[in-house]
Amino acid sequence: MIGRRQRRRLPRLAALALTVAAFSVAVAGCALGSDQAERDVRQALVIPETTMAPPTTVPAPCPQTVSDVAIQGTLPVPKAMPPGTLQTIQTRGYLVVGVDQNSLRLSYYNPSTQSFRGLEIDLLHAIAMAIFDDPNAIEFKVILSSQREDVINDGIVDIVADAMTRTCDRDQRMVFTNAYLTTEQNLLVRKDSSVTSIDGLNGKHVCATIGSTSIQKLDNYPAVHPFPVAARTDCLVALQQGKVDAITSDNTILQGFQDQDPNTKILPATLEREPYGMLVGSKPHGSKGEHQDLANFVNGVLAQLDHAGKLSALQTCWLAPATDPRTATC
Amino acid sequence: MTTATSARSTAVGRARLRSVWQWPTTTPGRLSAASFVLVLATVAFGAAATGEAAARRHGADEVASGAEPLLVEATGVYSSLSDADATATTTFLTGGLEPHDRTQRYLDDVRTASGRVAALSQEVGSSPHARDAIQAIAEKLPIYTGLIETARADNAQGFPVGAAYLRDASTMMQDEILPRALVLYETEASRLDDAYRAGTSTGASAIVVATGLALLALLLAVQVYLARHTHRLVNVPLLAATVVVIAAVTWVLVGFGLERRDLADAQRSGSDSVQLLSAARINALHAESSGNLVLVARGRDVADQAAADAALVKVGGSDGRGGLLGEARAVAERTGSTSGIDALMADLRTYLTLHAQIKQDESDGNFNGTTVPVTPGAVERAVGDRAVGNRAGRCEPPDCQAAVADQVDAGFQREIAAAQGRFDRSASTATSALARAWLAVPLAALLAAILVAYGLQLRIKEYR
Repeated sequence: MIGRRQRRRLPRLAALALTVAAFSVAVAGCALGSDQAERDVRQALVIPETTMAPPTTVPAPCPQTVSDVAIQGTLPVPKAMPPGTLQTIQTRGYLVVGVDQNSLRLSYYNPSTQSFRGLEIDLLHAIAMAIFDDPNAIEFKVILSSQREDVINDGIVDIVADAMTRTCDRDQRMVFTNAYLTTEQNLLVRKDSSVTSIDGLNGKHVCATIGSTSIQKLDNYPAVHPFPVAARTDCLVALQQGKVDAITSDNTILQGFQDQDPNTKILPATLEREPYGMLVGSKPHGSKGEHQDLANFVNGVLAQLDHAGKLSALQTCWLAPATDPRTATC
Repeated sequence: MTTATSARSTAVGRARLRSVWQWPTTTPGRLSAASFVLVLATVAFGAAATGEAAARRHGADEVASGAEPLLVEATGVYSSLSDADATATTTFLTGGLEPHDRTQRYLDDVRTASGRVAALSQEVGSSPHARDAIQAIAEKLPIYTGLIETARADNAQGFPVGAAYLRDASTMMQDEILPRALVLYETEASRLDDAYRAGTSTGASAIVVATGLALLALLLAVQVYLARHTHRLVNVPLLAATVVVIAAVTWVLVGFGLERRDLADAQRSGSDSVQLLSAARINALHAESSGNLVLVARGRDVADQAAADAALVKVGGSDGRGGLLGEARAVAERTGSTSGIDALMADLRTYLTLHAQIKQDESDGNFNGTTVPVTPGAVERAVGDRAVGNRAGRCEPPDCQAAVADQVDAGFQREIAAAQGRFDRSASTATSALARAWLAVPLAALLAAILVAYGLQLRIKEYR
C-alpha cells in the first residue's frame, strides 16, 4: 500500500549555485547493490568540485516543448546537501523512490536473491551515492503505473523511476529529470502471429497498462480494441491466455516479456519514441512542489555518469539480449 | 312345522333387519356403534402417533446422519478451497525454493476439495442451485490449479509474470469458485434448518395430544355409559385399554420431549458452534489469502488489503474478542468450557498484531520484516532510525506470518472437531429417544383396539 508517511513540507527552493563537476573518472564496472558494488560506486562517483561537461548523448525528447535542460551550478559534495529538497532528504537519511517490481531489465525484484535489479535501480543507487555517500540509502516503494504521478503529488516518494515517458502533456504538470534512456513503443505478438504492424490489429484486442503513454497512443487507432490492465505483467498473462492478440508497450518492457516467454516476437514497426525521465516534482503546487533543485541534482548525476561513459555502459549491459536480467550485475 | 319354522326364521330375519336399522336406539346397538367408533379412534390415534413419531425420528435422523454431515461436507469444500488458495499464496511469498510441506498441503487441499465436491454431487440431486454450483466448481477448479502451476513454474524461474498468474488464480478462486462453494453451503444449511424444524416441531405433538385426549374422552364416556346401563361398575378390558392409551400418549410425549431437547442440544452446543467456527475459519483463510496477495503485489492492491481487514473483523471483531469467534465463545460458555476458544482467541490476537504490523510495514514500504528483505540499507533503517517493522527478533521473517496463521488455523480445526463431537453425541441420543416409540406406539394402539373390541363384545353378547 502506498505510504502513510506524512507529507513533507519542503522549504522553498534555495538558489543553488552548483558548479557542475566534470568527471575524469574511469568507471570500471557498475555492479551495484553488493559490497563490491558499493565500493565501485564510491570510487566512481565521489569526485566533487570538478567541472562537468553538458550532456551529450541524452537526446532531446519531446518534439514540441520538452527538452533536456542545462545543468546549473555545481554538484554538491555527498553528505553536504544545500538547503532545500536535497537537505531534507539528507536529514531523513535515505532516499524514498517509487519503482516497479516486475520490469525485467529496468526494475525487477528478484524474490530468490531478495533484491531489486535493473537499469533504473542502478541509477537510483548512483543518486543515493551522490547524496549520502551510500548507494543503499534507499527505501523502495512498489507502485503501479497509474500511481506514478500521485505518489509524487502526495509527497510519498522523492523520485519515481518507472519507465515513465516524458511527454509534453505530462511536462505541463510534472517535473521530470532529463532522459536516462530513450526507447520506443512497439508491439509484442505471439511468434506464430501473422500481424506485422498495428494496422493488422484492427478489430482485435491489444493489451496496455492503465496510465501509460502506450494506452493513450491506442486512441489514434480507433479500430483497435484496447485491453487495459493494472500491472504490466498482466498483459503477458492475457497474451498467453489468448485474451489479447498483442501487447503494446515500450521496447524495454516488451523485451522483459520476451525474456519470460520466448514464443513471442517484437514487431519492428515503431509507434512512438519514448524518452524516459525520472519524476521528481509536480507543478500545480507551485515552486514548492517542483523540487527543481532535486531535478537539477539528478540531471547532474546523470550527466556525470554519461560523461564517464557509465550511462551508456549501463544501458548496453542491461538491454543486451544476452544479458539474463534476473541475475545480471551490470 | 315347516311353515312355522320358516315363519319364525322370517321373523328372526325381520327382527335382525330391524335391529340393524334400529342399532342406535337399542343398548346392544349403541354398544356396537361405540365399539366401532372406539376401535376406529384407537386406530386413528395409533396411526397419528406412529406417523408423527416416524416423522420426528426421520427428522432427527436427517439431522444426525443426513443434513448435518452434508453441511460439514459443504463447509469442508469451502474451507479446503480457501485453504488451498491461502497456502498457494503463502508458498509464493516465501520466494525461491518452495517448502515441501506447503506444496503438499496445497495439493492435499485440492484433492480434498475435489473429493468432497464429487461426494456432494450425488447428494444434492434435488437442488438445481446446488447442482449448478457443483458443476461450476468442477469446471473451474482445474483451470485454477492450472493457473497456480503456471505461477509456480514462472516463479521458480524468477519470472515476475508468475505473480500476475498467482493474482489471476486467486481472483478466480475468490470471485468465481468460492461463491459457488457458498451456494453449496447455503443449500445444505437450509436443509439442516428444515431437518431441525421437522425434528422439533410442536405442531406434531399437538396433533398426537389432541387425538390421544379425544380417544381417552371417548373411552371414558363409553365406560360411564356402561356403568350406568349395565350391572357392572368396571369393564376390565376397557380400563386396561385406557391405561394402555395413557401410557402410549405419555411415552410419545416424553419421547418427543427428549428428542426435542437432545436435538436442541445438538444444535446449540454442536452444529451451531461448528457453523460459527467454520464461518470464522473461512473468513480467517480469506484474510490470509488477501493479505498474501497484498504482499505479493507489494503494496499495490488497496482492495485486497481492505478485503483482508474486513474478513478479520468478521472473525474476531475489532479487537479479536468479538465477531464470529465471540459468538462461538458465548455458545461455548452456555454449554461448557471456553478454554479452547480462549486459546484460539489469544492466537488470533497475536495474528492481528502481526497483521497490523505487516500493514504498517507495507505502507512504509518496508517488506523486510514481513516477507523479504529489500536492501541491506532498508533493514538497517528498520532497526535503527525508524524502529518500525522489524520483527526479526520475534520470528524468522519468511515464516513468521505463516507460522502464526497455521497456529490459528489449527486452533480452528481443533475447536470445530470438538463441536462436531458434541453434536454427534447429542444427535445420536436424539435419534434413540424415539427409536422404541416408533415400534411400541403402533403395538400399544393395536392392543388398545383389541381390548376395546373385546370389552364391548362381552357386554353386547349379554343381549343375545
